[in-house]
Amino acid sequence: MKDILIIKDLNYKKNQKTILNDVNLNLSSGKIVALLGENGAGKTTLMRLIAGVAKNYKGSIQVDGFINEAQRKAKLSFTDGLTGFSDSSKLKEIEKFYATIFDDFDENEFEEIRKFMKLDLEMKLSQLSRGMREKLIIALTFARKADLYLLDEPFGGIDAMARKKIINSIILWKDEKSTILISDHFVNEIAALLDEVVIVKDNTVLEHKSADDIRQTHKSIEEYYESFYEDEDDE
Amino acid sequence: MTSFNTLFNRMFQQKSKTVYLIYLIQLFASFCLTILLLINSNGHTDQIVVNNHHESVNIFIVFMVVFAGIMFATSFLANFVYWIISAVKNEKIVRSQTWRLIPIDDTKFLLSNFTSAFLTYVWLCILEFLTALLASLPILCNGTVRDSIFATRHQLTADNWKQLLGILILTFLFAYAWYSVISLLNLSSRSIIDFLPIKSSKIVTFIIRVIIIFIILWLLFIVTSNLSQAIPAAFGIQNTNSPNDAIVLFLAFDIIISLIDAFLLSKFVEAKQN
Amino acid sequence: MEFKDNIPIYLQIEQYLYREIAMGKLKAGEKIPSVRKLALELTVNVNTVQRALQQMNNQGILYTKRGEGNFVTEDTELLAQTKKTLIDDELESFVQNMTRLGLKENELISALEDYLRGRDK
Repeated sequence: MKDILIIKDLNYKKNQKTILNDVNLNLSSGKIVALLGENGAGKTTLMRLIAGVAKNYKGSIQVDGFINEAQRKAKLSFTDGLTGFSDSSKLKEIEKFYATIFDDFDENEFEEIRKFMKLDLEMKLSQLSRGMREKLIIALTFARKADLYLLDEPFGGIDAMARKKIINSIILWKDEKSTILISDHFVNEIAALLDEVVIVKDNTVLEHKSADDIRQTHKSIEEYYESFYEDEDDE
Repeated sequence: MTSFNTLFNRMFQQKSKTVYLIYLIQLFASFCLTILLLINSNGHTDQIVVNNHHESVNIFIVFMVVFAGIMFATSFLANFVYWIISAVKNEKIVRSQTWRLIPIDDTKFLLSNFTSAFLTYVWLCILEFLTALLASLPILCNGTVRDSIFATRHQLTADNWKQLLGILILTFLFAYAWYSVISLLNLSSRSIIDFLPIKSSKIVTFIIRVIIIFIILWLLFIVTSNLSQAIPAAFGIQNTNSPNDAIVLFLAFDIIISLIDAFLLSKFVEAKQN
Repeated sequence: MEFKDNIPIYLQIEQYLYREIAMGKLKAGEKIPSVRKLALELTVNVNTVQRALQQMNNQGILYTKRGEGNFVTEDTELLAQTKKTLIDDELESFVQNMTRLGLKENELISALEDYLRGRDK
């Protein structure tokens, strides 16, 4: 299977502080991968670097063979907090924006996901609850026919029902060839969904393992993840 | 990949919302001012003076022509406000992750941002001009007024039109310079803040911005001192220099600043984290 | 359906489908739900379901009709054998639990009979 994402010797500093150090990571196409790590471990930064919105890094990032940032952006779909829209924007205006800007945006698919998520196009951004907003973000992200989806903590601060809806939409609308990278600091809720697990710790990608390999050793994904933090709890 | 046209259209639509808002406020304010002015003018409202002739006209025509005049006068303020607002908007777009995720080359992104801001400004001017023109249509029904306008039109020579064209181009280059210089201020201070070994705070941001403003002003001073000979020429005051000099200098200035902007944007300036 | 997170999910899906077949919820020759439907029902990854179905195909309990999906085998002998394996597995764990509680193997049958008689009342 071919690699959709290839990161080589990635180093990134901000304010002279090392955020990511010597990151190497390959993801093959068709996989659902969890990016696990504590808050502030650098998960979001890694995603922003892949997406080309964080700059000035050393090393190389390839998405579907493209190193150029603009071409990379065309190949991936990143959950965005929608900060570019005013709170008074209606959902249909936001959809219009995405539909015109991204040529891989599938309006029919958006309509399906929107109905599934029970989102009202006449609503304004300011009227959405945390969970609804997250659902909208997922709907917009998945309506694009991308090769790589980057979901940055899609389950943060939302209730169990919304989480279930989002997980189901991942199962329903994930294309066979596309790869999904989901970041989270809590793994239980998505464990059954995962093909692979990537652990971010100490400013780097510490380990990258298949979920079945972890379970083969009779460890749950959660135990595996927690084992990286055991030493710290003892202190 | 997103094409320049698509991005430009989106940006234009987004920014034209501000134009409509400003235009409506201006319309309303001009309307109120006209009423106030006519109430306070103690009855001399049915006469106008054209070429020292007193002409009697009806109150509606007077109202419209005064309204047109006020529209013209307030447009200076309205345009100034728009320049400030649109520059701030531009810089928000540059740092917005929503916009920066758009698959397009950073240079094209920047160009689209500048030109859409400028063209929405032109759109505001067109709206103002059309409104003033419509409001002054009734008075053109008056023969004396019409004659005097035609008289001035015939006095315009080919040179006048050339000058007008020169001024238009200079306005365009100046507007572009405004947006690109504001971007330079924002982008360079952002790059420096992200590089410094201190976490960005309001104070740091402020100090760096002030320093950069001074540097930019100093650079502008050098450029304008060179331009100071060329610009009067453009307006035909001095005939030793051709107006083309100012245009060429301004063009060079715009291109250089844009290149620096594009470099900073593609290499250093990140989208705000959300 | 809840999965144990310390056993490969595809193995658990296999177990789940074996049970469905043994209980007669999926009959011989019957088409089983599509991969995506199963994935949604079990809230797991499509790839995982595919892996489980692939294994079951290899074992012969399922067969694939090109473009139509997966079907339960019509080989009644294999089905009976599968059912027997499941029953044996359950009995084995029953026996192990009982011996751990101190029952001898020859006491098992009378203990079970007593229990069933008592429960029926």
